[in-house]
Amino acid sequence: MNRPATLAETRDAVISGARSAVEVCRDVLARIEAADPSLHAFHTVTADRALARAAEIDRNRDAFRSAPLAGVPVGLKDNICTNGVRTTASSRILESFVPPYDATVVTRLHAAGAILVGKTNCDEFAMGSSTENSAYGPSRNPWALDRIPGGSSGGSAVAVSAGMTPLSLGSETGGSIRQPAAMCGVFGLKPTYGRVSRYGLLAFGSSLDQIGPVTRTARDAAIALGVVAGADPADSTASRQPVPDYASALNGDTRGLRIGVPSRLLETGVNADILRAVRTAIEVLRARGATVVDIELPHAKYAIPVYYLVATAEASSNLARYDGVRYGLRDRQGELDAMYSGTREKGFGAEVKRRIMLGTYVLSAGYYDSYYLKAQQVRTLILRDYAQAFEQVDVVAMPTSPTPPFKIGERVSDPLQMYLADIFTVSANLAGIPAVSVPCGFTGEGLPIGLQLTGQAFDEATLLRTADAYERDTEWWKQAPPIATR
Amino acid sequence: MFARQLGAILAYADQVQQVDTSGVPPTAYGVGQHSADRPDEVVLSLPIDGVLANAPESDRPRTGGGFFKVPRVIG
Repeated sequence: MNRPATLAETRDAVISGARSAVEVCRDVLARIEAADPSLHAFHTVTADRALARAAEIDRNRDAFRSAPLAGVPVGLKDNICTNGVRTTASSRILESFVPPYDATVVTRLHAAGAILVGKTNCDEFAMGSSTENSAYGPSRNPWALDRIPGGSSGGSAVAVSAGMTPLSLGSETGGSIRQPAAMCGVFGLKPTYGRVSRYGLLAFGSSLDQIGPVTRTARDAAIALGVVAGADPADSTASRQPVPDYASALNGDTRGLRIGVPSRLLETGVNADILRAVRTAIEVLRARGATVVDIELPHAKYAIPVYYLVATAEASSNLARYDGVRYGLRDRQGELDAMYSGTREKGFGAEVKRRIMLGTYVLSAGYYDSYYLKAQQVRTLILRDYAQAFEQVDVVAMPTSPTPPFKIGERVSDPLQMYLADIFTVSANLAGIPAVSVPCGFTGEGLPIGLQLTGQAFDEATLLRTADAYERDTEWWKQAPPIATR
Repeated sequence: MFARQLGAILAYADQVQQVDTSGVPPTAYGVGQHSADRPDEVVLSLPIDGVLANAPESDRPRTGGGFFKVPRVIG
C-alpha cells in the first residue's frame, strides 16, 4: 500500500491484534522524527507518554475491544489544553504554559483509546490562514515544501497529509480546519456551532469557534466526530442535541440528494484549475443520482468584511486575559499598567496585535453602530441566504479555497490579501452551520484542491454521507505526497 | 505600519455600509439556541498548585489558599 493507513485501518489492526498499539505508536514517532524537521507540523512530541499509553492499551486489550479509537495516534492543535503538556497557541505569551487540566475533547479521545502523540503548529491564537503567524515558524506543505500548508490548523493538516498521524484535531473560527485540509489534500470537518464542547479550547471568536477533525477520509472524520461530539456540563454552548451514529450513515446512497451550487459567486477570483476540479467533482455526485441546482447566496460577498469585524471584536475581548497575571509571560519592568502593556508588547505577534486593535476600534463608542452592529446585521442576512438555499437543496458545493497554497512569505506583508484566502469558508462559521472539505484533485502544478460541502445545522451526517460517496468513486483521497511514503 | 494596514482593512470592511439593513435584527450567534444549564452542584475546582505553577509570581501561604502576585498597586 503506497499510502498511509487510515484511522479505521489503524484501529482495526490494533483491535484484531494484527498490530500492537505500541508498534503503531513507534512507527508514528519514527515518521515524525524523520519528516518533521522539514515540515514543522509539531511543537511538542509526547513520545514517552504516548508509548506508555500504548503499552497500557495493549495490556488491557479486552477493555478496548469496542473502543472507536483503540490505539489511534492523534495530534492536537496547540490551542487545545492538555493536562501536563505544554500548550502555547503558537504564541510567545504562552511559551511555558502547562495546563492543569484537559480539554473535554482530550478526555473523550483518551476514553475512546486514542493516543496523544503531540501538539501541532498553528497561527498564533489561530489567527491566520497559513501558519506563518506562528511565533515558532511556519509549517510546510507536504506537497510543496516552499508553500504554506494553509491555516490556522496547518500543523494538524500537515501531520495527517504526511502520514504522521491518521487523526488530528484542529479548530475553526473562519475556515481554519477546512482550508489547510484542502491545501494539504486531506479531509477536514467543521462541525455545527455547539456540536463539540470547547472547554479547554483557547478562545478566539466565541460566537464562531469550533473544534473538528482532520483525517484521510470522511469515514474517519465520522468516527472521530462521534467520539468528541455531545453535551458537556463544562461548556454551556455545547448542544444537547443527540449525537447520531455518523459512521452508520455512510451508506453510499446519494440518489435524490439536492446539491446547490452558487455559480455567480464563483464567477470571479477562483483559480481555473480549482474551478474545473470542483465542477468535475459535482458531476461525479450527479452521476451517483444527485440533482444539481443553481443557487444564489447574495450576501456571501460580504462574508469577509463581516467576519473580520465580528471575529476581531470577539478576539479583543477574549485576549484581554493574557495580561501577565495568572499565566504566561510577564514583563517585569515598572508598575501594573506598564506590566500589562509590556507583557502584551513582548508576548503578542503582529497579527494578534492588529486584530486586538481592530476589534477594540470597532467596539468603541463612536464606531460600534457603523461597524460591529452593522456587521451583526449583515450576518443575519448571510444566515437568511443559507436558510433560503436549504429550502431547495440539502448541501451547498463550492471550492474550499479560491487559490492553491501560495509560497511561504508571499502574502505576509499584506494582511488583507491573506484574509481573502477565507472567502468561501467564513460564511459557514458566521451561520454556525457544518461544512467539510474533501480532496477533489490537483492543479497543473500538483497542488491539492478541496471540494467544500456545507449543510444544515446539526446535519453533519448528510455531509459525511455525500463526501464518503464521492470518495467511493474517486481516488484523490488515496494520494499521498512523496514525503508520506518515503 | 499598523496604521496603514488597519486603514486598508477598515476601508475594505466599509463594504458592509452598502448593504441595506433597515429593520434587520443583529445576529450574535449563528445557531439560535439557549445555553444549556447544569445542575447547581459543588464540583472539584482545578488543583491550586497546578494553577499557580503557571503564574509569573504567586504565593501559597501556610494558612491555606493561594495568590497571584502583581506589582504594587496601592502606594
